[in-house]
Amino acid sequence: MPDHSNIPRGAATRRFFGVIVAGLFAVLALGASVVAVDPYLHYDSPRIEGFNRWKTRFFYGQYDSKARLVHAVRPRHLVIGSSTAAGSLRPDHPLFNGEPAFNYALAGSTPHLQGMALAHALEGGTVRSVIIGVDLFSYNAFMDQRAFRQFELAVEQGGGWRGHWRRWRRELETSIAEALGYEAVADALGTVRDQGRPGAGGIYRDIRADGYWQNPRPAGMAQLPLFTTIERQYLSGGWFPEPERRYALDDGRGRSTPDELGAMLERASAAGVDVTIAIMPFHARFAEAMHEAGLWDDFDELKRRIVALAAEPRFARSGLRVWDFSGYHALSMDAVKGATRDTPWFEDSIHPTEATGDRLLLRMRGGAAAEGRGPADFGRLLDAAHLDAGLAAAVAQRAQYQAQHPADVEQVRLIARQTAAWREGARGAPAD
Amino acid sequence: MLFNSYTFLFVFLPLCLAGFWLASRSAGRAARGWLVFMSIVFYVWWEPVYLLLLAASIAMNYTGARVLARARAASPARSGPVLAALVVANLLLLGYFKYLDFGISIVNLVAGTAMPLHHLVLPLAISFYTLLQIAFLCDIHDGKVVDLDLGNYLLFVTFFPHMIAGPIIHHSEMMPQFRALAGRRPPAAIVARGTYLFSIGLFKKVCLADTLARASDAGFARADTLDITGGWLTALAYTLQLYFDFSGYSDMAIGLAMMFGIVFPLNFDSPYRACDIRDFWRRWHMTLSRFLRDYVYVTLGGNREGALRTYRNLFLTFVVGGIWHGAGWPFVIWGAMHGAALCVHRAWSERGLRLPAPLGWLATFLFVMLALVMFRSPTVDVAVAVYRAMLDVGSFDAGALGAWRIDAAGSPVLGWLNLADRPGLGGGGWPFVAACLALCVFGRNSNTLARNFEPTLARGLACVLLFGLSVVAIETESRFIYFQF
Repeated sequence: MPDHSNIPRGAATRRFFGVIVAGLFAVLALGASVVAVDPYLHYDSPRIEGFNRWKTRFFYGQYDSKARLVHAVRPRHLVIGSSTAAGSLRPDHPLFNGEPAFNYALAGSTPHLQGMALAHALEGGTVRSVIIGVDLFSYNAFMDQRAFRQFELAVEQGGGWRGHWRRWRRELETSIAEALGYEAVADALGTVRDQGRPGAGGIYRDIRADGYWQNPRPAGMAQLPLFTTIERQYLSGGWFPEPERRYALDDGRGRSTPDELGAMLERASAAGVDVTIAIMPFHARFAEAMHEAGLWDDFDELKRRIVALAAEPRFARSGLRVWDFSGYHALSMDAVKGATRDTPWFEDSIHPTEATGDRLLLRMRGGAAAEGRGPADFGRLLDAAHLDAGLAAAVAQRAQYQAQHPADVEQVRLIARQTAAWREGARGAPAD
Repeated sequence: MLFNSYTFLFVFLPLCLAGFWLASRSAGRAARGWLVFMSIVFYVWWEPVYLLLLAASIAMNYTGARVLARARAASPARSGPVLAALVVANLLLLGYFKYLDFGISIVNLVAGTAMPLHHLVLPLAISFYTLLQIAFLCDIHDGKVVDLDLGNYLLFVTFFPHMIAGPIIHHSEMMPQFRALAGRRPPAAIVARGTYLFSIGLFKKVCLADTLARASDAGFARADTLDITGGWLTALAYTLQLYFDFSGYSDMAIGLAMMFGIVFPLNFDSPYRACDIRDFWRRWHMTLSRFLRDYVYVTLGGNREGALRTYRNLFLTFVVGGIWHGAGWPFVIWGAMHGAALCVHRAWSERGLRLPAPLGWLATFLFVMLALVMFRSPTVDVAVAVYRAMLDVGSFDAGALGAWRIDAAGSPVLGWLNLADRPGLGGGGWPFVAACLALCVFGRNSNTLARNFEPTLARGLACVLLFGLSVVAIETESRFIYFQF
């Protein structure tokens, strides 16, 4: 047991506590500054031009932000999906008729997590229609979902008074963590620094209160490097969980991502919500990358499974439609030339722009008004009767693309060769 | 609630200290009552339902203690059955929540049955408060308890700095201090020392243990694919993680208690400097060692019944210690390994043999590390996979050590140190682990720092720096390892 009698009393102790109190005030001042910047839209702090107008570092806190914002919006229309939907399907599109809409798409999310987001949004009781954006990457049954434990906690429902207790407790902890945690402090500093830097924040510069990722990128920004970076990450296996870096719709241990989509559809159907599935567009260069990675057959299989799901009698009354915007069409085959931004349809290989998202919404929700207002080959309703013909057509369209854009195709193949060599060597990161 | 949570640091602790300082002006029992109230808030924060179990346990044991004291006063011989009944009741409660599934799995294994497991959630702190109260009852039976005041008993069991994971306190140390709480504020100098110790503990947990956890968790998660370098570094990272985690927690607990003028017993004294296994247990989780010695080893007969029985008692004491940590074969084996090592050491010492200190240190450290592989592994198979990797000489690659890295994504400490980008440090993983090992073996431990504490400006700044760095570096969802026991 320590002996306290050797500790000097009086002035020395007062000085010691003076330093401690000053230090505590410094920590609190740091927290107050982060709250003022509010990089994750947690505190509804005012946006001030030149200080925190653009939430360029929203990415780390997006899961919590969206979970918090969705009930403030009380949406009638909802968008669910991954990053491909988060930055392309805007809730303020005129075809939502001015009714409240929310983009609840989450970067890197699996259909299991998207189902949780849907359930969380439905809890508010206002949602009447939902668009579910589907892409191949999210439907990897080997994706590690433990990384999203925080989101699971953020959207946890039910549990009676104990559930309320847990949510309240978590909200208190998160509110302080988002003012003092390492990521929050770093992102607050970064947010302030980024304000005067056009193009800061990567391909998305801001998150809005309706959950939409905005990208008012400056004109003249080089676009090709964004494409090649994504393709390199994809082909090097960087998006697949270590150590095996495998891809499959079923993991062989009981997890099936199409089944998770089915659960999502069931939940929506039970709530009387109109569901539209949109298989999201990607650039034709990425289609080449998928072929190089040997995943095109998986993509065909995913479409088959979705069509089979949609045909199940349990969804007959929910007005479920499946739209396919993937593959080869006028938007995806638009050339990427290199020096500056030159295709308005994609931010990079897999992320459609707002312009593409607008056309996608017009196609799905515009009815007769959409006729003639976009490329005729962009988007088709998918059902069992037309599925195989569509898949077969893609083979011919690919040959057409390869003939028209040999340099692009060769570049993707080169990346595939480089990344394959790197994977075999397994040392360091592949050079960009 | 966790000591390394924002809610604790910025809401609970300031509120608790402020209330205590106000209440401690009164001569009555307000300060003690406030601490009991806040300790219950601290406990229910995690899961309110467990409060019922805690309340039932306290009610049973306190009532039992009074009955036991009366029985002993009437005739010491009559208190034996009462004590036995109370101890059995406590063990049944603990056994039901902690060991039921383990028992069923053993029955299934032996009898070839397929009884379903219950997967009960282990109520927080049940191992610690059960142990504490059993010791209290035993001491009443032995006539060593004089204070049966309900308020003091409540605070003894629930006082939040020790409640969740120790140190395992003894009523003879605590009751006089609780009685002295009324009408006096703790001297500022003691509070200053507590603040200093708390900051050190917080830093050890948040900045060191949680960073090491990234390496050990990753290694144990893919034990099947480890090579010899990965195997050894994983084992070493966990050995250091556990020390910084648990000794950090103990420093925080002791520091917190000092903020209220209460002094806890020490729990760690640089265990990784031990030169033999007996010395190790004098330095590691000292309050558990004391409990096991006083209430298990001595109860079994200690060294009073001949050499063979002494060895048996020693071995069984550590098997019990292993089982106390958790219901599973890895814990049993870990306890048996230590029991066996202590027996070997005893036999060795009795023959007057002694290893040179450096060799003794190496042997002790390696043994502790190997045993902790078993302790950490969720199943024996995982431990075997790590051992296999550690012995897989064929997988040795001279470049593997340099390339070994700790996943730095989202890690403030590794981000600040940026070891991976510093020339000559390879992936940056091994230098961090090596620095932590050096700190354990050569650094001044927190007891020494606290003992030599003077409230200087420099130490105030050190406190602020350690606290500030730790606050920013807190990773949510990080628990103390000993919470699960």
